[in-house]
Amino acid sequence: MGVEPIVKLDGLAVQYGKLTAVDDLSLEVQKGGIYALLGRNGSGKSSTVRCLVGQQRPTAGRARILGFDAWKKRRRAMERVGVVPENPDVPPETTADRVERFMARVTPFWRSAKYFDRLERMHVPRKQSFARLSKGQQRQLALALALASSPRLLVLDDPTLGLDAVARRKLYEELIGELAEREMTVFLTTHDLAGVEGIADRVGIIQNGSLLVNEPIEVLKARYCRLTWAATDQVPRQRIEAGLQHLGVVGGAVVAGANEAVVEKFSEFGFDRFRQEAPVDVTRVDSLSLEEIFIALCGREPGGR
Amino acid sequence: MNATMAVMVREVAARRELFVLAAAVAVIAAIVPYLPGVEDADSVDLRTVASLTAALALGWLMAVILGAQIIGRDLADGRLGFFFARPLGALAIWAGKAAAAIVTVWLCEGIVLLPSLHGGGVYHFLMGEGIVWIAVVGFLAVPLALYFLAHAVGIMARARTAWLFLDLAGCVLFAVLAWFSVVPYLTMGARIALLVVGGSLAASLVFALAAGGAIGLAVGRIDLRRTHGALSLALWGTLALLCAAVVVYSGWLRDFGPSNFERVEVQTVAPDGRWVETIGWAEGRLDVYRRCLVSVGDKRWLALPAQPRFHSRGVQLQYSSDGSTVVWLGSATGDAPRAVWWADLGRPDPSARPTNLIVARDSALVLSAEGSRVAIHEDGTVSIYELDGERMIKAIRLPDDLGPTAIFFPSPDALRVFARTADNDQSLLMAEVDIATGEFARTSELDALAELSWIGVDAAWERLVIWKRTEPGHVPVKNLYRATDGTFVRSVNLPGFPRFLQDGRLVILNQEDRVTRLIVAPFEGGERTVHELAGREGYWFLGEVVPNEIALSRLADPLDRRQGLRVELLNVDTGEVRLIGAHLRRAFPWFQWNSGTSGVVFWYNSQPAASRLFIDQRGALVRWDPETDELLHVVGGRRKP
Repeated sequence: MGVEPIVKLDGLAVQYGKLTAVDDLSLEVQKGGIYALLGRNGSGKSSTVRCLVGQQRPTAGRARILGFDAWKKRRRAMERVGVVPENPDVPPETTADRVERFMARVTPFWRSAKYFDRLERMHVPRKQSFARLSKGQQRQLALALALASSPRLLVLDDPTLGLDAVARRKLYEELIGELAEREMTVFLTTHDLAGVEGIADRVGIIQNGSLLVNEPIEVLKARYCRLTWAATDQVPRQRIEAGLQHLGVVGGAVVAGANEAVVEKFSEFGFDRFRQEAPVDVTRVDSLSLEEIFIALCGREPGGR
Repeated sequence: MNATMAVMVREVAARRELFVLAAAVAVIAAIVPYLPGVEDADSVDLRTVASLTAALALGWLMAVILGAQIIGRDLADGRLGFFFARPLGALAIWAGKAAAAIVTVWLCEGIVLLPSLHGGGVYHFLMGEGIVWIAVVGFLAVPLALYFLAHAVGIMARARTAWLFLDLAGCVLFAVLAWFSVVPYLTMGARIALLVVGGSLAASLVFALAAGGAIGLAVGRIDLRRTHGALSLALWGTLALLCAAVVVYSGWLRDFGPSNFERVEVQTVAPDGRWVETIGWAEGRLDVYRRCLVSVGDKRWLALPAQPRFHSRGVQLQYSSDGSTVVWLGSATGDAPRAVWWADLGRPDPSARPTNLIVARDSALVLSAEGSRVAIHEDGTVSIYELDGERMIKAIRLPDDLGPTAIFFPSPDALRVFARTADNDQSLLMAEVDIATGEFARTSELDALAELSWIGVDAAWERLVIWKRTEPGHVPVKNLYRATDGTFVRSVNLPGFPRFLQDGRLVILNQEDRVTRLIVAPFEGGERTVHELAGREGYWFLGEVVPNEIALSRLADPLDRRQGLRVELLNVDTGEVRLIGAHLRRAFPWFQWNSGTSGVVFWYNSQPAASRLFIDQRGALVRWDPETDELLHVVGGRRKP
C-alpha cells in the first residue's frame, strides 16, 4: 500500500449548465515541493482549486486532500490546509489583530507569534481595516493567515495577481523560505510563469478543462526544444516534416519557408532519426522557458472559458 | 458549538457600530418628554411609548437589513470563502452568522428600551393583560421571522436563478393554504385554534426558512446559484412537510361529531322537540366546536356551518311550528352576504341544502307553520319564497316609519307584523300583510313602549303581555293584549316576571320574605292560585315541561355551586312537587328568548321541549322523558364522571 498523496484528483469534472469547466481531470501531488497548475483564463484552474479545498462540489469524480474527501470531510481536512484565494476575502471591516483572534479560536494549529512576526516583516499594519490595506499588504495578510495555520498543504490561487514585480519576488521568497523551514506541500495556480519557473518542482498545464501536461518541470523543459536549421531548398518540406515527427513537432506541420520548429519529444535518438530523414544543417537546439512551452501548448488555440 | 460561537462573536464585533446607533436612538427616546409641544403629557408615559416604538421599529428594520445582507451579500461579493477556507462546518458558519444578527437586533432593542425603565414605565406597560405575550412576539419573535425571511429573499433576489419560479409558486401556494387553513377558525370564532393553527403555520414558515438557509449554505457553500437551488428545495420541501402536518392536525381538530362531544350546549330546539341544535366541544380540540342538529330519538345528526357564538340575528335556526323544516344562514367571513340553507327534518335522512338565495348577514328568516314558505326580512323589505323551488311569491316593502320589527306567519298566505314605531313613543304596532296582494294593513297600535320594556307572547301568538318600567326603580306596568288584533284585555298587578302557560294562564314565580310563591292567574282575570313553597328558597323558573307542570330548579348544595341544580316539577293546579333530577345544569340560558326578526325582542314563554333538556354532571345533554319519568342521554359528556 503506497503513501497517500497530499492531493489527489480523480476524474474530476465540473459542469456549469452545458458548459464543461473541468473535464475528467486526474492528478496527484506527493508530499513536499511545489506543484504549479498553469492555464489560461477560464481554463478551469479556479474551479479545480475550489473543488480541491471543498468549496465546490464536483459534478463527477472527487478531490482528496491529506487523505480526506475534500467535499465530505472539508472541515477536518482544512485543519492542516492554508488557502490564499485569488481575491483575498478577509472581511473588509476587520483588522489583522481581530482576524487573528478569530483564527486562534477556529484553527487548531494556529501560531500567533508566527503570524505577527510575518506581518511585522512585511510591514502590514495590524490596526488598519483590511479594506484600507494595499493590494500587496492584503495578499501578505492572506499568506500570513494561511501560513500561521501550520499547514501541511498550502493552496495558492494566483497569489501574485495584481502584484508588482518587487512584491511578487518577495512573496515567492517567503514561500521558498517557508518550504525550507518545514515540510509543506504547495499547490498553486498562476499566470506568473516566469516567477513559478524558479520555484515549482512539478507543473500541470490545463486547457479547456483537460490536463495537457503533468510532470516535473525539469523533465518538461528537457522535452521541449526549438530546432533551428539553415534555410535550404535541397531538402523538400515534406521530408523535414516527416523527420520532425520523430521529435513530436508542436502544432503538427512546419509552415512553408520556416526554418525552425518547437518539438515536445526531444531526445538523442529522435534527433538522429530526424537528421537521417531530413539532412538539414541544424544550427541551434534551444531549450525553452516555461512561458514558451506554455505558449506553444496553449497559445494557438482559442483561450478557454 | 465553539466554532459557531467564534463566528457569532466575530460577526457581532463586526457590527458594533449598530450598538452606537441604538444608543443614539435611546437618547432620542429619553429626551422626547423635553421636546417642545409635549410639556403637558406624562413624561414617564411619553418616554416609555417613545422607547417602545423606537425599539420595535429599529428591531424590525435591523432584522430585515441584516437578514438581507448577511450571507446573501457575502455570497454575492465572494467573501464567504474566508470562512470555508477554515476548519468550520457550513452549519457553524450559518448558525454563527444568524445568531450574531439576531443577538445584535435583540441587544439593540434592549438598549433602546433602557429609557423606558426610568420611572417603571415599561413595568407598568407589561402589567397589561396579554401584553407580555405581545411584547415577546413583537420584540423577539417578529425580528426572528423577519430575519429569516429577509435572509432567504436576499439570496433569492441576488441569485435570480430559475428556482425563483418555484419560490413564487411556493409563496402563492403557501398563502392560499394558510388562508384556507385559518378561515374555518375565523368563521367559527375559535381564537385559540386560530392562534395555534395560524401560529403553527407561521412557525413552520420560519423553521423552513431557517432550514432552507442552513441547508442552502451547506450544499451551495460559496456558490450563490447553487445555494439558491438548495435553499429553495429545502425551504419548500420542509414547508410542504410541516404544512401537511399542520393541515392533518387542523383536519383532526375539526373532524368530530356529537359522539365525541365532551361538553355540549343547546342553541335551539325544534318545537316538537325531536331535533336539537347543539354546539359541542371534544377533548383535545382546543376551542373548536361543532354545530349540528341532533335527532333526540335516534342520534342522527346533521352538520351545520359554524358561526361565531353570540352572533346576533340570523345565526339561530328558524323552525316551522310543526318542526318539519328548518332554515338558517350559511357561513361567511365578516359582513359578506351568505346563502340561505334549509333541511327537511321530516325525511329519514335529512341533509343540509343550500339555496340560491343570497342575503345580507343581518337578514332574518321566518318559516310558515308547515314550513313550505320562508320570509326573508332584509333591509326593510320582506320577500316571501316557496322554499322548495325557491320561487319568489312576493316582495313587500315595509313602511319607512317602522322601527325594529318582528314577523310571523299566522297562515301560509298572511304575515303578522309587530313593530316598534320609529317615533318618540315607540308604540307597538300590529299589522297584517296579505301575501297575495302585498297589502299592508295596520290593525292596532298598542302601548307606548318605554326603553325598559319586554314583550311576552304565548306559544300560539294569541296573547301578549307588555312589561315596562318607565324609569329605573319604578314599579313595572304589565298590560295584557290579544296578540291577534291588539285588543287591550287588562292590566295586572303581579309581583314578578309573568310567563304564559300553554293554556294561556299567566304564571309568576315570586320570592319575598324567604318564601317562594308561585302565582297562577287566568289571562282574562279571575281567581288566582297561589302555592307557597315554604322553606324552598332560591328557585328558578325553567319552563312548562308538560301541560300544567313547570320545572323549577335550585342549587343542589347552596354552599357549592359546582354541585349543580336540583330540578323539581311543580303541578300548577295541585301544588304538588316532585324531584326529577339532581346535579344538573340548565341546557338553556336563564331566559329563553325569541329574537323575532329585527330587534323586537320577545320573551318566548313556552317551549316545553326545550324546558326538558338539561346538562348532567358528565357534561352530557340529557332530556327528561315524560313517559318514563327518567333522564335520558341525548349527546355528549365525558366518559369518566
